[in-house]
Order: sequence, then C-alpha cells, then structure tokens
Amino acid sequence: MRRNFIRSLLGLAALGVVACEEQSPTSLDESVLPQEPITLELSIPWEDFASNLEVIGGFGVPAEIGRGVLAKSFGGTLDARTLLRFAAYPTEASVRDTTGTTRTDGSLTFIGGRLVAYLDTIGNTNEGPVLLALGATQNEWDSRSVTWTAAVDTINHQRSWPEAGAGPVAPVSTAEWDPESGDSVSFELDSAQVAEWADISDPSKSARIELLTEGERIEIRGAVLQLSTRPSLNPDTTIFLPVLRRDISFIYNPSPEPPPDGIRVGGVPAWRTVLDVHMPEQLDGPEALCAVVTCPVALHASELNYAAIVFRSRRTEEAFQPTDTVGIDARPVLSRETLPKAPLGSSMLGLAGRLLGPEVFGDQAGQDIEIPITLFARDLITGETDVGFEPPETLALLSLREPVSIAFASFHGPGSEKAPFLRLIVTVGRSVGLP
Amino acid sequence: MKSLLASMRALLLITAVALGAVPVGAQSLYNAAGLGLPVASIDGRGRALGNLGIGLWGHSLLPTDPGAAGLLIIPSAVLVAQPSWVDFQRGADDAGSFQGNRFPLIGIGYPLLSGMFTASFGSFLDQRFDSQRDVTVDLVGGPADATDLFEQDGAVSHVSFGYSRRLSEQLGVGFNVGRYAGSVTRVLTRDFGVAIATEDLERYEVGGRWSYSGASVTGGFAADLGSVVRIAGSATWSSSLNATGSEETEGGDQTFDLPLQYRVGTSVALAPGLLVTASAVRADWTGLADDLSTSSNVGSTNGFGVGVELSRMSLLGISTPLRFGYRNTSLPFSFGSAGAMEKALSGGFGFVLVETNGITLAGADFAVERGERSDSTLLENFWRVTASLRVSGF
Repeated sequence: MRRNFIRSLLGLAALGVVACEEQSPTSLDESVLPQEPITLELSIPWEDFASNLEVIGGFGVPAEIGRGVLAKSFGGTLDARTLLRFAAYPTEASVRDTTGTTRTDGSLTFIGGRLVAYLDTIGNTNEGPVLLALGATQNEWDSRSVTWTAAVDTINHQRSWPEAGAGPVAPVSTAEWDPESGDSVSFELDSAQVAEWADISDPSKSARIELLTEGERIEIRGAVLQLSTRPSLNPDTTIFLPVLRRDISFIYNPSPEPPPDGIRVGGVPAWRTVLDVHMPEQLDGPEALCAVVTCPVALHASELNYAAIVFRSRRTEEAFQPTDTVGIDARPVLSRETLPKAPLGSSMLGLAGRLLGPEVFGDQAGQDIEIPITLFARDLITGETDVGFEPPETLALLSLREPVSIAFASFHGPGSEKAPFLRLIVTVGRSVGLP
Repeated sequence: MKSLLASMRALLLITAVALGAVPVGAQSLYNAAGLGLPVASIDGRGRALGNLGIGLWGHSLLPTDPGAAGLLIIPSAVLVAQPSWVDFQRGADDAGSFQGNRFPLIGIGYPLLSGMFTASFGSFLDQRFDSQRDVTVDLVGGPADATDLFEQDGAVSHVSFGYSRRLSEQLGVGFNVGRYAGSVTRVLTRDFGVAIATEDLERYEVGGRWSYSGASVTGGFAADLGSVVRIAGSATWSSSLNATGSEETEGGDQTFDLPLQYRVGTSVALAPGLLVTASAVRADWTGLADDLSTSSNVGSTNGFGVGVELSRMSLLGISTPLRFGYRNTSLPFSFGSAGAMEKALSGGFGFVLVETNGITLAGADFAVERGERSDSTLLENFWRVTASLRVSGF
C-alpha cells in the first residue's frame, strides 16, 4: 500500500513535469522589440540590372507537339498544312457471322473509309464554316525535319518538296467544317486511296490536309482513319475499323524572323530569351531608407524579400498571335557559353509556370507580367548557391512546355519606354544587439 | 568497491539528467526586461517554506548556502524540477497565459578531504520570450500588412564547484567557485504572411547569438546554536558577465556588471516538530543600468521569506512534514517606472522515502506557490510547482 502510494505520487509528479508543454511568453508590447526595420519597394531600370539580351530559336520541332495546324493567308501571311501518316491496318477483326456467332475474321476487305480530323474549338480563329482539303502526298518526308520547303532535312539527307508546301498531292476529297456542328470533320476515301495508304513501308504514302478558306488558322488535335470493312464471315455487313495515326506534323510559311528589339517566348521550333542579370550591390535611396540607415548601404541577401523581372506584353505578329493560354517558365542558364544547348536549372516558377491568357498579347497588350526570381537574385547577392557553387547569372525565359504551339508570346525589349525593369522589395534595419 | 560503484552510478545519473535538463523554459514576461528574470536555485522544501536559499535546518545542498553543505556528513544529491502556469495582463488589450518547465537546480555533494565537495548546475537569469507587432509597409500597389516577430531564446546558467567543511560540531563553512554560461539568441523576423498582394515574399530575418561567460565566488557559513537555532549567511561576488557574439552576429559584444549578493537566514525549532524559518537577500543591480541599451528600469533585489514546518506529520505511515511559507522579493528589472515585486504564498510537503538510523537516504519534496509579479505596467499571476528529489548515502 505504502510502496504503491509512493510510486503513484512520484509517477504523477514526473508525468506532470514532462507533460508540461513549453509555451514561450508572447507579449504585444513593442518596447521590447528591436527598432522597426523599413520595408520598401524599388524599381531598377533595365540598364542597371540586365544585359546581353538574346532571343534564340530552334528548340523542338512541330512533330513533338502531336498536333496539326492549318492556315491560309492568316494574318495576311501565314500558310500552314498538316501531314499525317497512319499505322498498319488491322489484319483481323471479331465479327458476328451469319449464324450470329462472334468469330475472328482474318480475311478482311477494305471497301473505303474516311479520315476524321478532330479540331481544337478554342484555339481556332474561325467563327464560321471553313473548307478543308485532303490530298495524298507523293514524296517521302521525315516527320522531325520536314518544313515548308524541305521534305527531308537530316544530316545525311536533304531533299526539297517538288512544290513548296508538301506538294504536289493527289487530291482526295474536301470537307466543310462548321464549329457549330461539332469538333470533327470527315473526309471520304475510296477503296483505291485506302489501299494506297495501306503500304506503310513506303514513307511517301501519307495524307496532307490544307485549309482552303483564307484568313483563318485552325489546330488539329488528332486524326484517325476509319476503314469501311467487309468481313468474309458476313459479307453483307460493313464494319468500321479504326487506324491510328503514326506521324503527325505540320509545315508553315513564312518562318518568323528573330525580333530585333523584343523578347519572344514559345512557338515551334520554340524561341527562348536569355539575359544576364546583375543585382545592385548597395542601395542609395530612397529618402525613407536613408532616414533609417546610412546611405549608401550594402544590400544583403537576407534583406531581399522579393525580386521579380517585370515584362510588358505586346502584340505578336498577327500570324503567330496566341489564341489559347500561354505558359511561361524561367530557368537559370547553367553554362552561358554553351548556348543554345546550355543546360538549364530548375524552374523558378514551379510546375504551373506563369499562365497568361491570349488577350494579354492582344487587346490587353502592355500589361505588366512579373516573373519572380527571388532565390536566383539572393544567390547573386551572396555570390554562391545554397550548395556552395557560383550562381549562374543568366536567365532563360521560355515556354512552360516546349514546343507547345505555333503561337508565341512577345514582350517589349530594352530601349523602349516599356522596357523590362527589376522590382525589388527589401527590408533593411539596424542589426539586433543585446538588450 | 560496491559503494564506489553505487556512487558512480548516481553521479552518471545526475550528469545525464543535468545534460538533458539544460534547456530552460520561459516562465515570465519579465524575462524581456533588462537581462531577464533571476531564477533562484532552491529545492522543493525551500520553496514551500518561502525560503530564499539559506538557513534551512537539516539537509540542504544549495549553492547559495555553502556553509550548510559543510554540516552534511554523507554524499548527497538533489534534482529540482519546476513547472509553472502564468496568466498575464498588460494594459487593457494585452493579456494571455503560458506555461513552462525548468530545472533550476541539479546538485551533488561528496565527502572528501575531511569536507564536502559540491557541484551544482542551475539557472541564473531566464531570458526567453517572444513578442510581435503588426506593421504596415508601403508598396507601389498600396499598403500591405506584415508582422514583426521577435524571439529571444536562451538563459544565463551557472555552474559551480565548491568545498565545505565542518569547523566544529556546530559550525560549517564553505565556498564555491562558479562560472556563468549559457547563450541567448535574438532574432527579429518580418513575416509578410499571405495578406500581401505580391506572392512569394521571403521573410526578413536579422539577429544574432551571444554566449555568456563570467565567474563567481560564493562564501558562507552555517552555525547551529544548540539544537534550537540555525543561522547562516553567504555572499556572492561576480565578475562581469560577458556576452560574446558568434562569428555571424552583427550586434556587438557586451559586458554587464553583476552585483554583490548577500543572503542571511535562520531556522528556529520552537517545539519538537515545529520549525520556523526566515531568510533575506539583497543585491543592488543598479550598477548594471548603464550597460543596458533598452529602457528597462533597474533596481535592487531585496527580499525576505518566512515559513513554518510541521515535521511530525505523517501519511500512510510515511513521515510527511507539512510546510507553509510566504516570500516577497523585488525584481532587478521591470518595464514601468516603479520596480517590480514578486510575492507568493506557498505550501508543500515532503516524503521520507528511505531512512536509516535517522538519516534520510531518499526523499522527495513538493511545493505549490500561488503568487504574482507586478510593476506599474505588467501583472502576472502564477501557479508554480516545485518538485525535488534528494538522495544520500550513495
């Protein structure tokens, strides 16, 4: 009894001591705080923080997008056509025979078909019906190097199209697409055309879709070949067998020239803009700052709360005007001397990047677009990264996914009234001493 | 040999507990005033009796009473834990509560060379507190809210080693040499939270860390006048307390002049099983005022405590002395124009867990205090529990 009592008492006491949670006393009394630091916002003009702006193109090819583009004199200049190659046709199918039993039929007869193209209803420029034409190409082309003028443009093999724009083609059919009727358009195929595209060993056997209506630009999300098939087990029946596409690419003309005075991001092949960034070593104003500390005062990394380059959007060339959301990314260039193939560091904007609506480069051009670079800027101030390496000074502005669209984003460059500037938010105070 | 092993085990246990007990919890907003809140290294018995660390009859191993250690005859050790719960009120709007735990004393005494060698580790000044203020920063997009958070974390602790011995049957003298240690971290952070329009603002942080060093010497006596009265006195001289910033610390180093501290105390056995005690302390901290950069009010630490012990009480056959006390001390640092005071009523009891031939080999003491600390601007009401475990003869 006595022993248990003592043990219980000591146990309770120990438990009480251990379980007593530590709470730091918190007072709202300002008199015990060090002198209030000052937080202020600074705008650094382009000349004082950036240099060596360079717009570099050529990243990726249209085939990587997995989409097609059609245009005819869009923006007064742009023509674009889509090329498609299909996979092998099916050699057997499960069909119900004349007795009603489902069996595998290995003897199929393709009596015709249709090519169904699925169109992007958001990315298109047309509001009314447009006319599209399907043709069969006559020349071999390489999906990764094909352009408006070159069918093949690899290191050991260059061949131009007999006619610029993937021509000539054998006309197959035409079709009208009205956005109000749906998001797909069908081209009818006869048995001869179906038979021609069945030979997948011949790289010249493919389809070319072009837009016949002028002044529009259309994006093709995908395409499928549907074969009208007569099975031997039930010759009175026609079934449709799908054939997936093997290659899809697009060619366009003219190719945009590098901007002489601007900043460009996106497109295909994609454009990147690189620039060198320098952080101010000391601050000499404004008055509010100098009232707290002796100016000029050295800028320390710990005092930098926020750094962002503010770009001003501008209208892109009409032919390459974005019609859908544009995703922007910013990454450090780890080795500037190896540009354009320099490796890039991690994104400063995260997985989502900076998403901008198409209107930012259209009706609402001139908007401020902030690209935060706080940690990049802090590393520049300290002179080393958090793992002790010399920090990169060069920044690349690029498309979030690259390439992703024929359209690209444009911003005002240095030398203009709307040149980019560096926005800094800094907090500066006296050092904290003993009481 | 067996006794030596047992001694080693006890020593290791005490050392392990001491190392684990180094963090000192915050127990008062007065930690924010001046150099902080002084913490007395007193055990549960002393707390229950309102004692100020000197003049207690019987077993006592307190660094402020080196003379009493000279009257001990067997090895002893003491471990003290002290949780507390505090409500505070400052003005009309600033009120709240907090709680904390600390280990104000770990001590050991071992007889050698005809005397008693002592070692102790304890708190000296508590300095931990947080504070905050809401601010508005002007940005191009308009004013934005931010919060300044200030965190001070640390303490001045005290390690001492001493030697005490009995000069006669009823007179013990002793001294200890101590070193001030510990450190304090002071960090100001401006947090922009989520209210600000601009995303991804990094926090602003500035501060430093200082390590404390300094030395002290305490000398004292304890005399038993017959078997009725004990009187004791001690004085502590301290060198300057040096605060040295770490390499990354921008704030400068500082030196603080610590005061000479005097203590006297007595215990009187009025009747068998009835003991009354009284003690007093004095230290003038005003010389330190010039060393402070803040506007704290600096005064003297004057205080007294009285108590009564009924030592013949028992519970379930266990000797359970009952104790009551009252203490009243002034604090060296305060916020208002007037000095701050701490007053507390206390009660408690002890247990003799193991006893041989009238010598307590293991005992525990508990004290509960209800008190207040106040100056002209801040009022704190607190409950404070002190639990101490003492072992002897290991």
